Amino acid sequence: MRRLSLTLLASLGAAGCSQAVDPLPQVDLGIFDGGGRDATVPAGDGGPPPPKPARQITLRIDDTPSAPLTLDMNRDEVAELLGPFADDIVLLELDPLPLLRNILNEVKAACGTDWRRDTHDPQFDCEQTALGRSFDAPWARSPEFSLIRVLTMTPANVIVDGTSIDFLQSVADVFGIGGGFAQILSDTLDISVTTEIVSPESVARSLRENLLVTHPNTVNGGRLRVTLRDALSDLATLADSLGPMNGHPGVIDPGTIPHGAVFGPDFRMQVVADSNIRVVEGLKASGGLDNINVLVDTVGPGFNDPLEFDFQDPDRFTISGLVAEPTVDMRFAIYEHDRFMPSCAGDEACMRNTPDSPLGGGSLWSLPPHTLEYITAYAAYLDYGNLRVNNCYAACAITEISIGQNGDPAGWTRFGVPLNLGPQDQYVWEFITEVAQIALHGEDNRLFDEGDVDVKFTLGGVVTGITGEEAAEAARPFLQQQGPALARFILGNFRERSGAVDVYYRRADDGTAMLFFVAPEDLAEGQPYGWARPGFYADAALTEKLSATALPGVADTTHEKLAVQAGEQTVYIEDDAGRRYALRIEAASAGHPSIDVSVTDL
Amino acid sequence: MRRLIRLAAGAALLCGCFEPVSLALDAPQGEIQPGATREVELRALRLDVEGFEQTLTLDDLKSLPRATLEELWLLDLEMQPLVTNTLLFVRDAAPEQLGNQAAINMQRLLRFTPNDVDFSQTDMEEMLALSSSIGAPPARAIADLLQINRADNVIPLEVAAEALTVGLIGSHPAGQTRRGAVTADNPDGVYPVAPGHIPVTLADVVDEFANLTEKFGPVALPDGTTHPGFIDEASGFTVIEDEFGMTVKVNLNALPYKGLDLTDGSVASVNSINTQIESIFDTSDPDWLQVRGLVPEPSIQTLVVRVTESAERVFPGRAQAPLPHGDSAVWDLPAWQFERLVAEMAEQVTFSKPLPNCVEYTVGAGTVVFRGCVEASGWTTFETFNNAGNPPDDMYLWDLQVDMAQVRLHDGGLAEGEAHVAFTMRDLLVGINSTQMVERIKQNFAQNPRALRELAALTNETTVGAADFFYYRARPDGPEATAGDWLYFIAPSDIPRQSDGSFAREYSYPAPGFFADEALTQALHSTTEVDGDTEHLKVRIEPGQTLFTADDVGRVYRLDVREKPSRARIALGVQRVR
Repeated sequence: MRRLSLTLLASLGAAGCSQAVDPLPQVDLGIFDGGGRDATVPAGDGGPPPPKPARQITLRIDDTPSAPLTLDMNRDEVAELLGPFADDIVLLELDPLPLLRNILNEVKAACGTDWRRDTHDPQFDCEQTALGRSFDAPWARSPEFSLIRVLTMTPANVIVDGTSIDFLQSVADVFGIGGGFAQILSDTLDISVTTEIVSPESVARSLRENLLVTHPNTVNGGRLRVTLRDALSDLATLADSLGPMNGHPGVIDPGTIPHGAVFGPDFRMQVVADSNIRVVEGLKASGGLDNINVLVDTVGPGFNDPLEFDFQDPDRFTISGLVAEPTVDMRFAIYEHDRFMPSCAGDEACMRNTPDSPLGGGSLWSLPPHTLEYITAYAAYLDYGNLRVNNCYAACAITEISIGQNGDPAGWTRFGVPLNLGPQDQYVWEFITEVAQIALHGEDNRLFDEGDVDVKFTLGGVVTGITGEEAAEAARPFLQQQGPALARFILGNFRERSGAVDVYYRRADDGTAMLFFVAPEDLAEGQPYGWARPGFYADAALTEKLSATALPGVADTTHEKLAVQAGEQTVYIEDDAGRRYALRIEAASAGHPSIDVSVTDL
Repeated sequence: MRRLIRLAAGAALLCGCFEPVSLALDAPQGEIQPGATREVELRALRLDVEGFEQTLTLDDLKSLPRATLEELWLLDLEMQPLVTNTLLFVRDAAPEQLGNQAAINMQRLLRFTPNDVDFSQTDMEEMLALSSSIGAPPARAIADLLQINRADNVIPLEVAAEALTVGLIGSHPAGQTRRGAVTADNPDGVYPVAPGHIPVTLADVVDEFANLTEKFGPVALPDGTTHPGFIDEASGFTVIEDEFGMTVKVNLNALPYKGLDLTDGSVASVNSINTQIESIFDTSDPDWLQVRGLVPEPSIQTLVVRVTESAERVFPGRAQAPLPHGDSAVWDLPAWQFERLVAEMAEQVTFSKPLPNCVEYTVGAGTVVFRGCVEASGWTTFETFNNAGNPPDDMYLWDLQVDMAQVRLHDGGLAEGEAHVAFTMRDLLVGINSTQMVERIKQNFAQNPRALRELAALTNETTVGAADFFYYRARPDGPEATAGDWLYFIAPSDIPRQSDGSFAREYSYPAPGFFADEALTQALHSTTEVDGDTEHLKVRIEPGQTLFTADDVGRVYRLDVREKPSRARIALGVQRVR
């Protein structure tokens, strides 16, 4: 409080007509800050300076609950508030299987669907679809079409020329046994002649477990972590997060930007959060009244959060206006190994060649999992890992194909062809992979050299497999988990807005009104703590401490605290510059929400 | 008569012997009838006094006509120091000294600092509550917006005092004009009062400001409205002590001029002050006027000042136009009403700071959660992130403060229109000490010949009868060109006042002056300067000369100048010609 002193400077001498005319009355406005009710104007006529008058400061406790922070944000406002932290805010972890299934379905339909028919020639025509037309011309010689042929292989249309089972096809077709090769293969794999040899579900799972799980930015079994940044960028940032990384070639073709709107035009994020920040009044002994922001978090589970969110409570958090069925446009890439991987066959040792225990460096399973060969082999492994069948043709005289029989591991295939003219014994997935490799490159690599079949599909509108509503709900637990971090993101710098005080007045967690001496945790990050003798003392020499950090019933143990008693009490403190002061505290009652403090320099 | 005798005695001491003078009227002789002639003799009386000190007691002054006292302006008293003292008292008084809730609320406004910020029930309430939630103390937000320290008064005392002085006092008619002498330059006798001042007259001093309440009370205004006044009660002024006396030193011919009342041909006396006003007071002499018995520090024991408030709450304007104040109704309120006064104060405070000024608070990685900008015009915009806290509409900064002030004024359960602020001040200094007051008196008298004349007249009341003209004999030490005998036609200023301030008679001469013809068409008179006088219509006369003149009802007389009976006498034959 200021005091304004009005002084008439004119002479007050006896009236005399001979005196010079005095000037008009002058008003001298002296202003004294510091909340003072002092009435003394400091003398200024030399000599020792008069003692600085006591500074009267009223400290009040405001018991009014803090107003909740209520936000109803559109996309731009979300970006403005949370944008800088959007990379770290995970909205959900997307199960990639539905997305992969959708991708495969689209890819497999890119050149027609006649492959589903019982015909040896599926009549592919990639000009039928936009995706097919995106293949490098001529599409029939594009890597993408080659992969389509692999994915759409059925016993009816499979081409095994140049593979180790090529002879089997010749025998079957020449002698007409078993209804022909297609039927033999159908019987062997225990699928219909029009069923994909490598099932789409297994391909999808193989992609998840080998292409995605191995990517550094997927989590929890290949789940795609969708951050706020991804959503705000309409998934464009997936190019970075799912691109090449740490030796992984990436899932998204480098140089291409995915796109898929997540937030619709009516997007809103409504959040209600309770603030744990309390603006309390304190004093700087050398100055005057000021405020300090302190944290009063009694909610938990953490007790150091500026804001309390409850993302699980629909009344306190909702997301609306997400795109009902989010889709994504993306260029999906899978890279093949740069050399042909022959089957491990004809050797009993090959029975031990499994994904978990590759047999030597030449094994399929020694390839990086994200390679096309590995993914294909693994998909077949998933399909036929438990296969045990035995089929005889011509009373087993001409051909007997037994899988997983007579103690062989499941999937281990023995081709009973006279004179051992048939394929060597091997796992089903080994010869399927061989067939697939030949299918990719053409017999004798007439289409592509090894290592050139890097497939890249430009997909549009692939359904992500999660609805907007599901996504909104799915985000709750993730955000709840990140609540404390979000609170720190938003208001973590609240101490930077504190005034410089030595002590402040607030209620302890038991409701007792106390004077708190400022502690290191009250200061902004990086601000040095300069109080050498924190606490409230009974004497000016600071030998008898009245305050304590630990008080019965009070959880706080880091602050020197002093309960305010009714009446007058004088305590002594030292500030961060080593100056000492007497504080005469007057309270109408113990715990009164307002106290008067008279600060005197010592 | 008592005073005159005293004067004559004093003059005798100074100047020696003189011919006895009588101011008794001639015996009534009746109206001169048309064609009738009378012979009269007029005598030039002269009693020059030098440095004569005349002391007027309080009773002497009080005996002056009331109007004269009120027109004897002493000074325009600067009110701001008094108002400042008043507000200082209100601000620092204990609640029990203020007595009523309205005054307590006024005190709250004067003490209001950002540290005491309380915007409850205003447009700012919700936003400032939210301010705390993010760790931005409302006190700092307000202080930053107003560009003051958080312990500073939002409305500094000096600003409040100035606005009250100008708005409350300056809007009262008594604070705008005062009555003064009627002169040729100021025929209506109304003079402007310095802005922010109240006129203090000799009447105020001799009454010890007893009429202050009436003077500054309710008064009808020309537009049909009523100014409610601002002083409810004023008592216990300590200005004059028992030994009060005003002493003036005069140099003058103390005796009146002899003139003729044409109606009945009787000889009358005309106070001689008018013709020698320039030389009566030697204002270069520092002792020409002395006042004793003024208390060193004039004070007021009790003063109740009232500020009325509008019957309805005035809300902030929502448009910038019309400039410069926008569309708030506060500017349509009378200048003396509380809301308008606060608006004036707040506007002054606003423009006392450098503008534009913007205040921002950020959270997170720089998201601006609050931005308040005061533009150069005072127009203030409020923005919060996501409209959090329902920020108030844009408004002029002063409107914000007026809104806050209105709410605070009604704390304690006062209804709208009931919060007239009436605060009682006790033992206040007037703000001017006796030395200053005396000097002001001397300065203003010296600069105002009319006031001097009034004062001089007070020292020498000698007008008797109703002369239409009088005889003046030029000073013997005067220039040759004006030497000799003159007839002066009566001037308005020669007509004395009565006790009620009115003039003793109306100045209604249809043809003042002297003429060569009976039809009064050929003027012989002029205002030729004679011994400093340029006011009167005058004519120099010689024996044997004939003139015509008319009285105040248009009767025409022929004047024949006879041979002079002696050096300082003239004889006239007076014949009424119609």
